[in-house]
Amino acid sequence: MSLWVDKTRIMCVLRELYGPGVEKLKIDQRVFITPSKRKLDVNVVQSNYHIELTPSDVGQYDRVVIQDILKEIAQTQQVDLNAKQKFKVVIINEADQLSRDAQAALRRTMEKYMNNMRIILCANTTSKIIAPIRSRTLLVRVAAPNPEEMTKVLQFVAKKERISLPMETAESIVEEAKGNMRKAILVLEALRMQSPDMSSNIEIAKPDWETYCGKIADLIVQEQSPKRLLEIRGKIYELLSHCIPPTIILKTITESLLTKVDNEIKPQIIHWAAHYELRMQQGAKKIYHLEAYFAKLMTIIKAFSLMGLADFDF
Amino acid sequence: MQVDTENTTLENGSSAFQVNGLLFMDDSTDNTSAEATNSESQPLTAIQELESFASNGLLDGSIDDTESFRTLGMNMPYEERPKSLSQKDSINTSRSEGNGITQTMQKDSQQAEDTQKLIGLNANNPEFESTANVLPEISAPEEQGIQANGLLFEFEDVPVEDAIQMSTITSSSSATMAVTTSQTRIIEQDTTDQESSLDQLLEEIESVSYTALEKGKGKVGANARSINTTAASLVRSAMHIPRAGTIPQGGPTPESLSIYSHLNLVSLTKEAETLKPLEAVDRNGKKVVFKRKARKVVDGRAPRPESAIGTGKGMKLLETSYHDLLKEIEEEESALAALALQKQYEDEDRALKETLARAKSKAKIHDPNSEKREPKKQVMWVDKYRPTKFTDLLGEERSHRDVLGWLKEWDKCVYKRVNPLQTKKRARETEELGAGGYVLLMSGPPGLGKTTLAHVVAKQAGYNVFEINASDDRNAGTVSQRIKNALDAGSGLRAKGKPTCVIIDEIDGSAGGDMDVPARKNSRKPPQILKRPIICICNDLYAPALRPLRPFARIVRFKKAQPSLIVNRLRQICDKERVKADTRGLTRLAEMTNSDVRSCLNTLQFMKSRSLEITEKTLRQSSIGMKDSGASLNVVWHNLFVPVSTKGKRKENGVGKDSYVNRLAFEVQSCGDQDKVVQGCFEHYPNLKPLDQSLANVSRAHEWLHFYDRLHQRILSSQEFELMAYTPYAIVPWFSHFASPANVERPVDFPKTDYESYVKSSTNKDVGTALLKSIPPNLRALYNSTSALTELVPLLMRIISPNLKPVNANLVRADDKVLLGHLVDLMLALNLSFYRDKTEDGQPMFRLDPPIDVFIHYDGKRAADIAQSRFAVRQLVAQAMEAEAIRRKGGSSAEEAGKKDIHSMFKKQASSDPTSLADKPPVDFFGRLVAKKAKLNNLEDVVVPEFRVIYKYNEGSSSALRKTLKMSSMM
Repeated sequence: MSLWVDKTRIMCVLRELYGPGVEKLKIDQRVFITPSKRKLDVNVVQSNYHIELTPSDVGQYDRVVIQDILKEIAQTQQVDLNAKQKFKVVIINEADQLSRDAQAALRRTMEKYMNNMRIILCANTTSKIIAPIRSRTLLVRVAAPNPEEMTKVLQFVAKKERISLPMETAESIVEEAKGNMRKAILVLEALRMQSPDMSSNIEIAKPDWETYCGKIADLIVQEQSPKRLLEIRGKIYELLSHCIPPTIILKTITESLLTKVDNEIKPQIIHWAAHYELRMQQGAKKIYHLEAYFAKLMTIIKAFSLMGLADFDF
Repeated sequence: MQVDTENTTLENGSSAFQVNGLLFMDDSTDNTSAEATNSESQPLTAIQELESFASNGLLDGSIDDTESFRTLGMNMPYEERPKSLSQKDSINTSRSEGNGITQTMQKDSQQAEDTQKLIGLNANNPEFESTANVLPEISAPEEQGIQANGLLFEFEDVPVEDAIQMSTITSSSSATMAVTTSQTRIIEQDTTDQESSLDQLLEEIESVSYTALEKGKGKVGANARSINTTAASLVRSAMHIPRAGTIPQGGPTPESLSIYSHLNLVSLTKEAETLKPLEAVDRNGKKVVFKRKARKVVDGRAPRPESAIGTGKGMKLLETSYHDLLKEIEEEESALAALALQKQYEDEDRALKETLARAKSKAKIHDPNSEKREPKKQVMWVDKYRPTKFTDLLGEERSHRDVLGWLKEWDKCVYKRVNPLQTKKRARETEELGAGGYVLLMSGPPGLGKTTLAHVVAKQAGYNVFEINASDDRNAGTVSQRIKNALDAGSGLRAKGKPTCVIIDEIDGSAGGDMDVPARKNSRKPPQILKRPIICICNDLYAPALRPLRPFARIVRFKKAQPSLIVNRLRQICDKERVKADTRGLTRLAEMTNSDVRSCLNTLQFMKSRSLEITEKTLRQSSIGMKDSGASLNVVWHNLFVPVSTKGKRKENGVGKDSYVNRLAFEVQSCGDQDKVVQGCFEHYPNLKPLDQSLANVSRAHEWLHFYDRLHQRILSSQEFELMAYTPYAIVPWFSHFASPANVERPVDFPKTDYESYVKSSTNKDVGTALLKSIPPNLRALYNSTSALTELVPLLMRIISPNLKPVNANLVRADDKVLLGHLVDLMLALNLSFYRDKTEDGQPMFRLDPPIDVFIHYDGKRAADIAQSRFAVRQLVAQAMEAEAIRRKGGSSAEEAGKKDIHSMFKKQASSDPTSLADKPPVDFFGRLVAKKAKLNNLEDVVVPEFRVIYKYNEGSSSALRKTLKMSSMM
């Protein structure tokens, strides 16, 4: 039986299954040899009872990792006789990034070795998982916590840490975190370190790249010209070189932009965002498509500001 | 015409080199005389066996033009099989016997010498045997000891104008042809001669010989002399012919001559009776004796000395079996045949060319058939017109001189004396000159004549060339061995005493690693100093394989030769080859091939073979001239963004806007690195001048970009290389969207932004990986590589940059102290640390390790909401961390146990869990408590905890304030 769940939840499940022993984690580096004799280093996090890997780290060779590790685990019985469960658990992170080959390699193994292991796939989206795997798994959709829950958690943390967290601050943190609990707690801690006095009206810390994306959105709204396009390109490169995934860049800028433009053109912007996101996935050079998207945004904004109307085709 | 029979044999003694004469032999004469001398028919049967040789021979030798003879005489004989051979057969009762006319005219002794030479040369020609039984009378040089008795007619000073037909025929048939009637070997020769005139000629020859024979018949058995005279009388009529068809055709080798001559020699000369009888061994080993008669003194002519007549070499030959001799001859013949054939081919073209030139200049008869008869075997023009002299070289003279100059510098070392002292001196001198100069490295695009130059110069400087090119095995070991061998052995006798010059061609094509061989060789110990020049030739000077070589090399770069020079040369060649070409066409050809002479010549030759005229138009239409050379990136970009100017259009003539797609696609394709082209376009386009402000064209270009990217992605990911055919067309539309004359001013820069960004991102990725490795597994399990960088790192940086005052640790306020405590805990938990370092300008500073602060620096600026991490603050933190770390290490974990990192807050009683390994007292393999630990625990209350106290002097940390401290406060 396999599950789709969130990280923390997975750990909780494991703890329920095996007891606290599962929290004794160690990071291990495994070496795999591809058919073309290339050596791959993969970091795996494992305890006595489970192993967690991110095959997508090695790109197109993920199939090798899947095959090797799964076989290896599946073919060895649980060593610890005291273990509560007879099976081991394999957690595959970023399952949606797995290549087709890797997923195909997975599908039979999942069934065949079910005696010895369970697989938990962790993914952001199910759309990229092939149907055979989807049918073999139990889908657990983890919804984001609602603001009330998040505020509650924040207050709990604050109490534990002996911080006085005003309600407004907590709410603004939650709002900023957009349902991301981890982020909310990180922000809380950052605030605590930055300004021990939480009561005053403080600015909620934001990751730098988000701020930066906001700046780019501003640039797009302010001026639409090839020169500006060049300027933006420099900034995009800066973001990319900070290892911010292009999809996130596109999404963040679009979100930021949507707060800044007229309602009339918002649907168009979202349409084109989706359009170019797809292209980005299909193509190799992300920057081409990002720039094409911004050029498109500029034409839309420009046309709108010139005509005052948005009567052009999608 | 004057026939001087008296002169003939008599003169032989005096002028050793008179070989010329007319010899008429008629089969009946032959027969009868053979019978008359009672010789057995043995020799005849022997000849019969020689079916391949025995023939009706008609040997005409004539010199009408010394000059042409000289040049063409070396040439192969043109043999023609007479059409009227049957006529001859009817005359000849025995096939084995031959009729022959050897007719040579002598103009002067000079000429005679020439002829002699020719005959000597032609003696090599195996064909001669076929006519040999004709018994050409050769007034052989006495020292050769060859004498043939026979009929010899000598004509002197035949007035040219006498030969009536001749004058017409010579012009066309280039007169100096050898015509041999031969049944046997007719080597197919392509002659430039006109067939018709030749046939005509042959017929004449035959008719004349026929009459000669008829008349000669009547005097069978008569004195040879009488035949001579009769024949001589015929010469007048016969004389018309030989001028037309001359035969420098094979003279017999002395040996072969003598063999054949003995037949008639004995039979014909009645006067030879007093001489020693000749002995021969026939096939069956039977001895055959020929009696010989003494030669009479006739008309004041002294009889020939014995030695000259038959006791010489020729006579002795009879003592061995005829068949042995034949075999010998055959062997010799086959060896010679090969040689002759080779020579013949070599000379063929040159001779033909000259003949043609002559024929052209004299041209009175022009027969279209002559075209057909041109030699089928052709030399590549590239080889044919390869310069052989320094002055013939084409191209930039400066670089030629440089090369020669460099080679001349070696003279001191190579030619004077191979003295290590001097070599060193030379080396020092070159060093003083500043150039490495050990090795010459010539670089430049193909077809400019680098290889030719190297060879010509080396030859000119008197070296023996040893070439290593890409076709040879070139791994490091082999090459070094070969070079060493060449350089060592070359100085010896092998190369005729010439020193060796090693030319390493196509050196850049060698795989990396090979080419440091010469370099290493040079840089090695002095005893191994290089004593012979090495010339390296490459196309790409900056090939990675050449990097180690470059510092040691004198580099000569080749540039394109001026088109005018090339066109001139092409023009000359075209004239020689009779190719119609106009100057514009040639100029265009030179342009198209990028001044690549080799390519030009190949194209010309190809077009000639298809009998195309070389004009601009044909060149453009045909794709043949299109050299498959890659256009450089810059050229491609330029052409993509700058339309062809009207002037250029006129020049290109017809290359207009409408045909831009194919033109550009070809260019893009030939460029090779299409990814770079696209990248360059992408990085450049916002700089282009007249951009549509509505950005419509930009969007359209982006569509094409997307198309290209998809193709590219497909090719890369699924190896669908078929799609590569389409990629150029995804690039070409940049032209239609952006091309404008204004773009000339802004050339496309080489794209580097993308690569820079890539490098930066991979460095940053490494930082991220390092962070993920260093943080504890509990935390690690919660983040993947992306979320760690997008969520954890930016906030973590804020967490670890609290607003602390940079003061001494002991003066920190209470709440700050709490903060500091948190910070230290956190950083220790995450395995972050500060370490001392110095900035570029020597300022001491603390750096974060792993350096995750790169992620909060955008555009080189730190985020505004993060306090600047001052040196003092970091120092404070670092010190606090150090102290904390020491305390933890010390093992006072009681306090520690309660303290956990933030994330363990949710783990209820994680630390106190009995199963937790860390909290169990350590046990050894057998489950006993580890003694040391136990001991420590026992003593804990009694003994002062074993803290290791470390004093560390920290530069720059002294504060003005001093204070006495107890050790406990530091712990």
